[in-house]
Order: sequence, then structure tokens, then C-alpha cells
Amino acid sequence: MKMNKLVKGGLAAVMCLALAACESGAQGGGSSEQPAADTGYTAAGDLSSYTIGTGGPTSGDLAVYGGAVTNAAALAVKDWNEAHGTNIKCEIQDTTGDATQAVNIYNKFVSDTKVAGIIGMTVSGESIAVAGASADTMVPIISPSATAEAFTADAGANVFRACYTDPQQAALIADFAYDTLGLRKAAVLYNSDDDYSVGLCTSFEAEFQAKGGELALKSEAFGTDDTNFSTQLTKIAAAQPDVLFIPNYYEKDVMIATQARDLGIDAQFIGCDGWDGVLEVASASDLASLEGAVFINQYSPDMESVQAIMEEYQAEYGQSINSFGINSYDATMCLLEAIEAANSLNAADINAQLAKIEHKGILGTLKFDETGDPIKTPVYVTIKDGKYVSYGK
Amino acid sequence: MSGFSQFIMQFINGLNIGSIYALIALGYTMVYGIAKLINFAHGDIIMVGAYVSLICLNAGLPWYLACIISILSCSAFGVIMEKFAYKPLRNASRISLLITAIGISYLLENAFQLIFTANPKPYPSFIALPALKIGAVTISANYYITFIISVVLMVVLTLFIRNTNMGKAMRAVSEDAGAARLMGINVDNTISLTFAIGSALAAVAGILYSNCYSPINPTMGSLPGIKAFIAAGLGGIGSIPGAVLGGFFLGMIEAMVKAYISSQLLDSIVFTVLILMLVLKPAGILGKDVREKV
Repeated sequence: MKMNKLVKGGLAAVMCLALAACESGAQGGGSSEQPAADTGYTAAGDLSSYTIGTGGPTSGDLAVYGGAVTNAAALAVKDWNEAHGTNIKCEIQDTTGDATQAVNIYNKFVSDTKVAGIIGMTVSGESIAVAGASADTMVPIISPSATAEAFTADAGANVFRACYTDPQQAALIADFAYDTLGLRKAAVLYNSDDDYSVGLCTSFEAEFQAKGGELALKSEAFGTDDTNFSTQLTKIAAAQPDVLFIPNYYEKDVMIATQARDLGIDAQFIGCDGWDGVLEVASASDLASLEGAVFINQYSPDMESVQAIMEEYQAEYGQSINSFGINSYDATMCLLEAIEAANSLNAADINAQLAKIEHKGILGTLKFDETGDPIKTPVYVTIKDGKYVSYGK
Repeated sequence: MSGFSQFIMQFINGLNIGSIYALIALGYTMVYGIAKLINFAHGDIIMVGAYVSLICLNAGLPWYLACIISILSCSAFGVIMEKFAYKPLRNASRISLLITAIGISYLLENAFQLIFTANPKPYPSFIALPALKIGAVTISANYYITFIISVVLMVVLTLFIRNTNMGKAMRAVSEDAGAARLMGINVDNTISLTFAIGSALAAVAGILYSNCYSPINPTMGSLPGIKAFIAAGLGGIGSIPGAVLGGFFLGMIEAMVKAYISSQLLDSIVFTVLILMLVLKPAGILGKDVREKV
């Protein structure tokens, strides 16, 4: 009897370990060396009929992201071909979000297809692995969605991204809360198991305090599987902050926002791009809690410049485009423009163009700093009457 | 808010999460008491209950019908699960049963991911009673409803097992299935009934849980399931008041650790408590070191 109990306890513990192991994502190592700029890599085909590659998890849990990135890249290539009378192809590969698989696909892109450039990968882990592997060809890579700092920081001059890094967006929303919203006393509730959330929390704290703001209490943490935040929120309620920074993904954001309002917290809610999607998972009764929340995002669906692409994407794929897709469309157009300007399929020539490009995309002007991170206008989205609206509109 | 009312608030938070654990632990403990099986798929029945009620609510049915349909279909599902997966193994070793239960759990989670995708779905909360205000402390309707329902169900279940013929049959099967059969008790039906009741409780837990924690997803049941298993173990698996007590005890430890020690250490502390309990008092708080348990 005693033995049985012990075995059962052990089993439960093993199961928990297994669960924890499943959560830790694949992480690839990037090379920090700066290799020679010209490796002699030149894509197959000519300037009117070459191929670009794009990859991401188009199946499984992350298909929402990978599907948007690869579909929008293909759509951009199609639009470019129609406008320029070219015959450029877009090869789509499913990385399943796995770093090893992504590197295999990268190898296929550069040795079999000999692509002129890569749009991707989608998830940070796989993108870092591919960026590291790309040192021997220096093929141009633009990720529309890899937000981890290491992706461009540890890679060569051929790696760019079209989205903000995590520290960038956390600092921007901290400035916005302090300057535009005039808030001075902040609280943070973040997921201590998640690099994205931890990174945002750290950068926000630093920037908000540097501005002169105050933290109402030490930032409160929770774990990935938690759904009950009442204990942490009770502590936050007692500290009476005027702004609550919630740097998580939409599923948790909804739960935190509703539970916070239930506990009588009336602070302004702010967040980052993980908030994109909250309205899709919010029930009618949750909307009141989300009303007025502000988050930084790549775009807002009420922007005039995105209406055409939203309709086109809907017609082509039968679903609505998300920020990953819009970024991917801009990144692809940017790559095609750089290739045209370089007038060459040589990787070094294209990279040189990308380094100085000022691409007029649907989300405004896209240009890159020396690490390959984007310089662009931030978009602040607020929730008004149950809809995403550009702040101040 | 003063330190004291904050403490009271944390206490209530603990009671709330504890009542959910208690409800789930009731199902665990019933099935264990009678079939001597740790039904690891029990947590996933919560998810089934939540999704069935969600479909009904989205189809425009009133909330009480959605609850009834969800409870009935979970009961039916529990019985079917027992007939197909566990009954053929009734004379097999305990470890085969346990592995089958884990298999069912994965089957359910993945089947629901195929049908409903892994994307979280919003759950329209229908508990729309006013919150209770006592001084500086606010208790939301979800909190007291969950608490009341779990205590009422515990009482009803205890009375049912103590005072009805079917309850008597359950106790007999729990003590000695072979002898019970010789006395003319239909052991198969009794075990089916146990699964039906246990799964119905899981459906109730699923509905209450979704009301508090929308949106829901196909793996929502796995962690509460494991936590409730710990609660059942703490309280003494097989004992009905023990399950409820274990649930509240665990909820309280969680709230107090998160509030006054550290949320990062939470799981380490909870599992340490479980291990200490298993080492020091293997039968749990209310468990007896004897074989007959319901």
C-alpha cells in the first residue's frame, strides 16, 4: 500500500517534468563572428525569374503565425510579378517551428533551389538557428516576426528583421505610458516561464524608471499553466498603481484583464504585440474589462494603408490577415525591391542594398539600422467599443 | 487596503481555487474508491464538459440546458470510456490501467485539438449575480457560487453513499468486488454508475472553471487534473470529505505561498507538501489505513 502511494507520487512528478520539458522551445545557437561580406553566393535564374524562399510552422500549434508569414510572402511575390511582368517564384516550406528542421530547409534553399533571399523564419528559435547557419552563404534573410534580440545581434550583415525587438517595443510602450498617457505609478504582471514576457518586463521596468516613473510594487510573476491570477492581482490592487503593464500573449491577457477588474483594479492596461488577438478570444462579458487598453503593435486594422491588403488576403486565402502577414508582405516587397536595385543575384550586392534601403511599404517606411533591426513608426492600438482602433483616432 | 483585509482577500482566493480542486478531486476519489483506478483522464473530462457546454451556449441554448446537456453527455462519456478502455483490463495489473488512463487523456486532448484546433475559445460567462461586498473585501459571484456548489455536492454525495441502496452497493464493491458479486450485486453496473457520477462532477467543475477562466483550450484540464489528484492524495484518496478537505487545503497553500512567499516557488512547495504527506502519512489527512474505502 505504502509502496503504491510512492509510485503514484513519483508518476505525477514525472508527468510534470515531461510537461515542463515540452514547454521549453528549441533554441539554436547563432555565430557571433562577422564573416567575409562576399561569399560568392549567387542565386539561380536571372533577374526576371529567380526564386525566393519562405518558411515557418505551417502546421501544428503555431500554424497561425507560419501560415500568415508564408502566405503573405507568396501574395507579395504574386503582386510584384503582376506589376513588373516578371516570373519570380516563392518556395514555401514547413519548418514546424523546429530549429533543426529549419536549418535543413535553409540548406535546401541555398543548395538545391539556390534562392535569392529568404523571408523568415517565423519563430525566434528557428530563426536564430538559420541566421547562424547562413554565415557560409550570406544569403539575405529578412524575418517578419523573429523578435528575440539575438537573431540580428549575433548574426552577420545579411540578417534583417521587419518587426520590433522585444526591448524596443517594451521601451516604446513605457515612454508612451509616461509621456502620452501621463501615468506615473506602474505595476507589472508577467510570465516568469516565458522569455518573451520576462524580456518585456525587464526592459519596461528599466525604461519607465529611467523616465522618472515609479514601480508600485516589485513586478509580480506567474507560470505558463496558471489561469488564476487573483493572488498576484490582490497584491497589485493593494499597491494602487495607475497603470498595469501586462506583457503576455492574448489568452493570458484576457484572463488577467477580467480578473483584475473583478478585483477592483481600475488602472490603465497596457501591453505589447502579444495583445494582438485578444478580441478574438474575448467573450462578450470580457469586453468591458478590455475597453480602453492600449498596446503597441505592428499595425492597426483601421489604418487606411492596410485595407487593400486585408481584402486581397481574405479573397486569396479565405481568412483574415494578422500582423505577421502584413509584416511579411512588407518584408517581401522590400527584399524584391533590393534585388531590383542591386541589379544582381549576388548575395553581397543585395545585402548592400538592404543596408541602405528605404522601402515605402504598407506600414510606412521600412529601413534597417546597422544590426539589421527596423527603424519605423510605432503603432499604438486601443480597444474601443470592442474593436481595435489606432490610439487617438 | 489594509494588511488584514488583504489577508482575508487572499484567504478567499484560496477558498475559490480550492473549491474547483475539491470538485475535481471528488471525481478522482470516487473512481479510486470503487474501481481502484487513478483515472488520469479525469482532468480531460473537465475539458469535454466545458466544450460541450460551450457548443450549447453558442447554439443559443439557455445556460441551464447547456449545463444539463454537458453533465449528461459527460456521464455517458465516462460510462463509455469505462466500458471500452478500463473494463477489458479489470483483471490486469494496476500499472496497465494507469497507463491506459494516461493514454485516454492524450487521446482526448489531441482529438479535441483536431476538432476545435488548439486556438483558445472565448467562453461566455453566465454567472451574472452581483458581487458580495463585506467592508473592503469584494467577493465575486463566481467565487461564492463555486464554493457553495462544491460543498453542496460533497454533502449530497456523502449522503447518497451512506443512505441509498446504490450507495451501499458501491461500498460493498469497494470492499470486496468478488464477495459483492456473490451477494447479488451487479458489479459492472455499480462501477458504471461510479464513472457516471464522477464524470458528471467533472462536467460541473468544467463549467464553473470556464466561467472563471475564459478563454478555454483543449489542454485546459491537464493541470487542474494533476492538482486535484494531489488534493485527493492529500485528503486521503478514496475518502469523500478527504477530497474536499484536500482541495481546500491545496488551494489555501497555493494562495498563501503566492501571496507571502513567491509565485516562482509555488509548484516546488506544493509538490514538497505532497511528498512529505506521502512519506509521513501515506493514507492522507482523512484516509484510513484499511482497505475498505469509498
